[in-house]
Amino acid sequence: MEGMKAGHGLDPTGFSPAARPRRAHYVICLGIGATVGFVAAFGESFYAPLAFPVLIFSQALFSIVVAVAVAPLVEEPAKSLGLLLLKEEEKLTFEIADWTILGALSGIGFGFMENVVYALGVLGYGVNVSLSLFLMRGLLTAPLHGITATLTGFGIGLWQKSGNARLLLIPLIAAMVIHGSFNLLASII
Amino acid sequence: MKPARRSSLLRAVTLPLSILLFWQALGWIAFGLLEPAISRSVGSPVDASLVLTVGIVMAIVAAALGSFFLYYHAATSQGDFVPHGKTVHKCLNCGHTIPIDTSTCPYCGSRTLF
Repeated sequence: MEGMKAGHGLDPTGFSPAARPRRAHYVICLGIGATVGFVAAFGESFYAPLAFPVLIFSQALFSIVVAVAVAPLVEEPAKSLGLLLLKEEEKLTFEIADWTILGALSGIGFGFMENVVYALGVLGYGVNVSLSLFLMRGLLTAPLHGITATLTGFGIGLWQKSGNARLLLIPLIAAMVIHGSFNLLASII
Repeated sequence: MKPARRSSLLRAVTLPLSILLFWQALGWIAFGLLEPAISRSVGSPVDASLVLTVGIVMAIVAAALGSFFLYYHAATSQGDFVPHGKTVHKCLNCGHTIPIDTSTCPYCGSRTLF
C-alpha cells in the first residue's frame, strides 16, 4: 500500500505518528461493510439455527430472539471486518477519530446493501412498496448500523492505541445492546 | 483569555454519532409516515397512530442526542490514549498493597520493596 511505502500508517510498535486514512481505506471499509451486509440480509438462513433451542419453549419468541439477540451478536463483529483487516493484516495505525469514521462507513455500507436486498425482496408487492421500504430503511436503519459500527471503530482505535484488545469489548457490547434494543422496539411495534 | 477546553477521548465518536443521529431522526419521521402504508401493502396492518407517535418521540430523542453529541464535540478537545503504568505493588514482607513510589512500607516498616 502507498501508506506503507511512505512509512506512514505502518506501525508494528505503535509509537510512530499515525497517518490519515487514504481514500482506498475508506473504500475498503465501505465495500467490506456492504459485502457483509449483503450476506447478512440473507442472514436468518445462516444464524437463525443458533436460536433453535428457543423453539422448544415458544414459537412466537423465536423470531424475536433471532432479531434481538442473535443478529446483533453476529452482525456487529462481522460488519467491522474491514477495520480489522486494516489494523491486523495491513498493520496500519490511525487516530481514534479516524477509526470511528472508517467504522461509520463500514456500517453505512452494511446498512445500504442490506436495504437493497430487503427492497428487492418486497418487489413482488409493487415498485412503490419497494421504494418506500428502501427510503424508510435508508433513513432509519442505515444510520443505526453506522452508529453501532462507529462504536466498534472507536473500540478498535482504543485497542490499537493501548495494545489491549479487551478495550474493544466494551464499545462492541454497547453496539450489540443498541442494535438489539432497536430490533426489540421494531419487534414490539 | 479563553479557558482551555476539557480533553476527552470520547470526542472521537461525537461527530460521526451526531451526524448519524440527525440522519436517523429523519428516518424515525419517515418510519411514522411510511410504515403503516408499507405494512398495509404487504398484508400485515399496524396501528398507524401508535407508529406515528413512536416515530415522533424517537425522532425527538435522536435529534436531542445528536445535539448533545454536537455540543460535546464543540466543548471538548480530543484527548489521546495514555496507557496507565503500574502504580501499586505488594510489599514483599507483609503483602499489603502500597504505592510504587513508597520507599518504606507504611504497614510493616519494611524497606525490602521492589
